[in-house]
Amino acid sequence: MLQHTTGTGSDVKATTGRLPGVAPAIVEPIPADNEQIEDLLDSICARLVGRTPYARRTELRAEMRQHLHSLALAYQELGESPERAVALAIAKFGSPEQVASEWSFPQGTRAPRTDIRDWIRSRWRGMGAVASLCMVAAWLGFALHAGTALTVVAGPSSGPAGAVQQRADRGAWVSSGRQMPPSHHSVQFANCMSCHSAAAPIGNIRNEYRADLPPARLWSKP
Amino acid sequence: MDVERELMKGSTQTLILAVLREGARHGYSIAREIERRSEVGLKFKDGSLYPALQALEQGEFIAGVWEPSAGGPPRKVYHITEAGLAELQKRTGDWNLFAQMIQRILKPSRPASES
Repeated sequence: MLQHTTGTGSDVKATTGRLPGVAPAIVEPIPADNEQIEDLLDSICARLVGRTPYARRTELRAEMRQHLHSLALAYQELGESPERAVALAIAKFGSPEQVASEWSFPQGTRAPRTDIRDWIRSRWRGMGAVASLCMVAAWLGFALHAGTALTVVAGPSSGPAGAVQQRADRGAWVSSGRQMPPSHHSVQFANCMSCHSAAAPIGNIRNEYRADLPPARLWSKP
Repeated sequence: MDVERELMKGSTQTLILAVLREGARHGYSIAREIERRSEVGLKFKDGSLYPALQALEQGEFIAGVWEPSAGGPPRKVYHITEAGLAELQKRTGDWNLFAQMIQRILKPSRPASES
């Protein structure tokens, strides 16, 4: 026995607690294939791809479309405009995320990624953590590299022992006759990142610390 | 009365079976009937009915038939099966037992004045 064929305004009034307004003189019927309703159905059904057979999805879609249409018509009976009635019906039905979360699927099935924005939203916390870890790892790598460089710089062949502990404004490094800026490789780095020379003597490049020189500026010659 | 969403989620199938015991209905009608019987105390999203309907149909507790509707496209109308009636009886018993146990725990074991 079919007890209800369409929704009634009183049903929705009871839900919303609103009194029915004065209906407009000419009520434009809400089409069954309303665009907003179809968008919602697209979004819900996309979450079922790979988990529910196509034939079943088509059937579900038709059922849900009629449900939403009945809801919208009921809101319209209460005096809402067609646009507002559809919006209220969609809100009453629930978001695609809410509806999808109610579905239980056999283990081992998972929905395909249909929207990159959903994927980012669901993973942004993890991505933030990975980015933070990468930054920490990069910093550690940099620090380790600098530590190794300090050992090289402080060695006997690369200038006076403990030169790196000296303040840069008390002297300067000279590499094959060229004075290095203090923030360059004269203080911390064994390998210059821009000129690729080494603090330790390699080939015909020789670095030495000259305490008698004034603080170095970028590529100023002694 | 606002009921927690999780409680509602666990009870949706039982409520559907209870509504369908009274007669066949389509999804929209089931939703409105649950609200009417609970005097709008149970607030839930209508969309949550469909996963429950599908699960019940797969379990053969209900069966759906497409029927023509007056002045509109055909609607899928659900009716409860024999297995569904037995399942409803079992779930009703389980629910009553559960409610009794919770009541026993919630009820103070002795009057507060005696403590």
